[in-house]
Amino acid sequence: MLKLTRRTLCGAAAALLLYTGLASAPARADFPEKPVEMTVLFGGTANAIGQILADLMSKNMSQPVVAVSRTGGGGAVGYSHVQATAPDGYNIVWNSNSVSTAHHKGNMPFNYEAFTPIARISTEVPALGVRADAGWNSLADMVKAAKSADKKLKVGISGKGAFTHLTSAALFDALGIADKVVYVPYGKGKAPAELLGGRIDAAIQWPGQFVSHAKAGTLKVLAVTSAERIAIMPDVPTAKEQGADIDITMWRGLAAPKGTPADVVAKLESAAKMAVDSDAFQAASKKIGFTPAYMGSSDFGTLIASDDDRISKLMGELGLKK
Amino acid sequence: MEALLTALSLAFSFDALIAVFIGTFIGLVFGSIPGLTFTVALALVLPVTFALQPATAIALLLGTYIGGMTGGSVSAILLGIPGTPSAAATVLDGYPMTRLGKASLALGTAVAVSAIGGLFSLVVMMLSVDFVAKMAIRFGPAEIFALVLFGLSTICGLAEKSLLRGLIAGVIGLMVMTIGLDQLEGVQRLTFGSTTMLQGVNLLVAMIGLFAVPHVISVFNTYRLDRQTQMQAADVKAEFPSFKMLKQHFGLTMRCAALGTGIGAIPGTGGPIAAFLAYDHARRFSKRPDSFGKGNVEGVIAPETANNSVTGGTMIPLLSLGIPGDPATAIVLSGLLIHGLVPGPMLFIEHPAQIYAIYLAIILAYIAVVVIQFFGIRMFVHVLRIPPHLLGVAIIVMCGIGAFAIRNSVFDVYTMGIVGLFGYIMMRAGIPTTPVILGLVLGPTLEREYRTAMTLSEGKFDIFYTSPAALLFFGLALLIVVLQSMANLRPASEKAALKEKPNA
Amino acid sequence: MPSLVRDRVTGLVLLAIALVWSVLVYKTIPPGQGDGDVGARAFPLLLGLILAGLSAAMVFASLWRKSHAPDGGRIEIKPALERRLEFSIVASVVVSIIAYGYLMQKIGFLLATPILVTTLMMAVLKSRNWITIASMAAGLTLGCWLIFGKLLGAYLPRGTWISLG
Repeated sequence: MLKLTRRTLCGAAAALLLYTGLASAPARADFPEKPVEMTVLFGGTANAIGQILADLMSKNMSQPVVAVSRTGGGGAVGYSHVQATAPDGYNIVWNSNSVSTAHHKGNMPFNYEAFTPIARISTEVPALGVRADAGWNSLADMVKAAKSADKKLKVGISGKGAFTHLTSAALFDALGIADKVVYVPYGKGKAPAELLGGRIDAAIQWPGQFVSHAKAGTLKVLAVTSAERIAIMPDVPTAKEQGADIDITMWRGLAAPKGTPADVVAKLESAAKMAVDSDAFQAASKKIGFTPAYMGSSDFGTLIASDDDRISKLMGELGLKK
Repeated sequence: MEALLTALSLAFSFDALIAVFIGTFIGLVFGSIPGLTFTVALALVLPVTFALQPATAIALLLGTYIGGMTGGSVSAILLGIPGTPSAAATVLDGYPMTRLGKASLALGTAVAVSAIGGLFSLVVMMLSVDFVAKMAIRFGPAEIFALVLFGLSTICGLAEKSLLRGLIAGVIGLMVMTIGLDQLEGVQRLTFGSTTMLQGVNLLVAMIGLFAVPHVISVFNTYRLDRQTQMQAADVKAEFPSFKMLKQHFGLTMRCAALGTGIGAIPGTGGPIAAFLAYDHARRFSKRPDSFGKGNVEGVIAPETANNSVTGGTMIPLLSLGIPGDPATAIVLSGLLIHGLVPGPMLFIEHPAQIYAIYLAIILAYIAVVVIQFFGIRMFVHVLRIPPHLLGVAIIVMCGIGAFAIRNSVFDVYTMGIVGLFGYIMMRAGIPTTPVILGLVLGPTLEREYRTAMTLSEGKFDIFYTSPAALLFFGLALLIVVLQSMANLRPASEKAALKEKPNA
Repeated sequence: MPSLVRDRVTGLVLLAIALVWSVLVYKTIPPGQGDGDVGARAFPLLLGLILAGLSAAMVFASLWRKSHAPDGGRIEIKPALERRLEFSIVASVVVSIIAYGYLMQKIGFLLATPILVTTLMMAVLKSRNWITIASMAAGLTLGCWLIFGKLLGAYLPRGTWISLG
């Protein structure tokens, strides 16, 4: 009753203020009380997986998870947005290794430690494709050709400092032909066509971009860079099998601003786990070409830290670190 | 044949038909409201398609794409504010037509030639997807750089009376797009260390600001000076283009359709460049080039045919190579992937039914465009009856929402306001707006392709002059520049007739 | 004001912008490493210099035309009152767009929009017709909220200070 009189006295606007003020006060016991905003950092595959994940997580929570795209700056724009929000679990970020690349590139003043990990969701593995008529059937063939040629090997990547660039650098380093390679940065998605057009000799891209061309016999995928073979291309050997000792995968996962209460993180973590385990998510992974790879909060934190260390070193060697 | 029958049953299923129709409608609405663009519409529709059957999902996405492409011409013609960058060239003659009281004729013509252009490109795609894809692959960075330079040379024609001003405008457009994170090296450029500036200036945001803000300012200004002022074109009658008129311009329509399809097939170019080249072509080969910019219907036919034939053109590299030509097709690509349709050569072998379903969806979308617009135009023209100053307030709200929605970023709303301010100052200083758009659209591609080409050639320029295609485009660009310079050197008395009038 | 004077002012302002731009670009963007690496600096720097050249040409052309083509058209001179009005409209439209963005983020779309509409109607259009103002504010806000927010599922900002919707 008291509330009612106050409302009439204060007028409609003030009442709304009061009402929403009360509603947004943290009441952790009942998390979530309003929709959770999941910031998506990139378009394309990242956006598609993020949208599916948000949909499935919504089914396991009393409030929906809304995917909101905040692209730009190699992820820095979205990370900065989430990092600046209150650590109450209502703003989470659909993150990836880009948290390390954006920071070490000097585009983001904070690093992964500004976030509390929630869960790893999926992984994607870069693959090395070459033209079928190059006649190379393994990494060794390519290395031999590169060593005997007087011209440098042209390798298509997505951009300087992009994950595909770092992977390429690590791979060609391990193969011992780092000085015989020129990296050609293309916009997103164009490298396979450039390979077909004969303007580059190899390209490191995501498997989904090669699959159709590989089946058609115009391109050949020589290696994937993970420790184990991947489901979408089971016949393609890993680089490790071929003597290049690398293990590089890109992960995607969820994180919240640092200081988010543990019970809130746990709720999001379990909703994420249920989403990843669902049939719908598994089916989507086969179509889009990523690997569902749930990992709990604490393990995920360790992984982010160790990957950050590796990426930092790699970028330092490439002279990309700021 | 079996595949075709499956496709027919897929495409004509009730759900798919409804989806095409709804998609086209959404696309039209987003395309035709100034400030909102169909790229945003596609991003909104995408999550909805996840739960649908593949054929229905494809129908919804393609409907939105095509509806949006045609919808862009509505606000370009009615208000002089292009709904999409591809419709920026349509403003040049479409808006003057509205001011002459021929709004519905312009809109009707735009719809008719859009459908013709779109279906033309579809036929090309159906007949020769392999051939065109093979040709498109041969377009490397050097060739695309040359093509974009050719596109940029049309600035000379758009510069109205002063070539110098046109060039200044074009360079300003190119400069604006270099702000932000460098696309190839990830280096910050003129961001002053600010994270939000890393986003750079979004093309759509800049376009909204450049056209809508000066428009609203001058409407408010007119209203305050003389409250009685109404737009002259308040007399709007529904007048549709006759077959005779369309037949008269059939040759131009076909040439622009071919041009649009060809440019659409080359990844990384797209609608705006096709529309501007088509406009330039139409004016250059017209018997009355002086009437362009004053409401010549050919100035609507050319860009609208070309930008819609780009839709079919972009489908070629998208479906056969998996390369999206622009942000809009990138979203269509995600939609296909989610349903297990991996673009590439195998798509045509493994999923022939879905390919036919795509073709049919495009045909149906154009039918839907014509049907919706047949009724829509009658409604749209009534927009002109709304008092312009009230419409101006609504436009600001729409542009605010639209600028925000592109990247869910408040920074973009600020950018729109600031770009709008500069747009207004430039208008007052007599610097034309359209070349700025051309600079904005082509700048990123021009720089990226040049740098990639130089990386490929390891710093040698022979990559540019050893390619016949690149040489051809360089030659055409040079030709346009020379012709225009000669025209500019004509006695001043001739030019005096064309009294200076800043582009609204 | 003769258009020649306008050209000279425009040219000089652009020249200043171009020079500041070029210096900033030169100082803040790392150059390429040669050997095909054009680098991130080359393009913006070249564009800045081209603009400097073009605007210098504009200034010279206006000086040259003065002696050779004395007719050089005049543009209408607006009375001081109209100029002041125009300035106030430009300023208020641009400021309200920026304020709209700021408010959208702070108090959400549902509150920012009626504030924007009311301000524009009253301050810029000098409307005192409360029925028009109220119906515009309510109509645009609810219309956009329903169509874009609810029907089409677009994300409309909710606000960090107060959050509605």
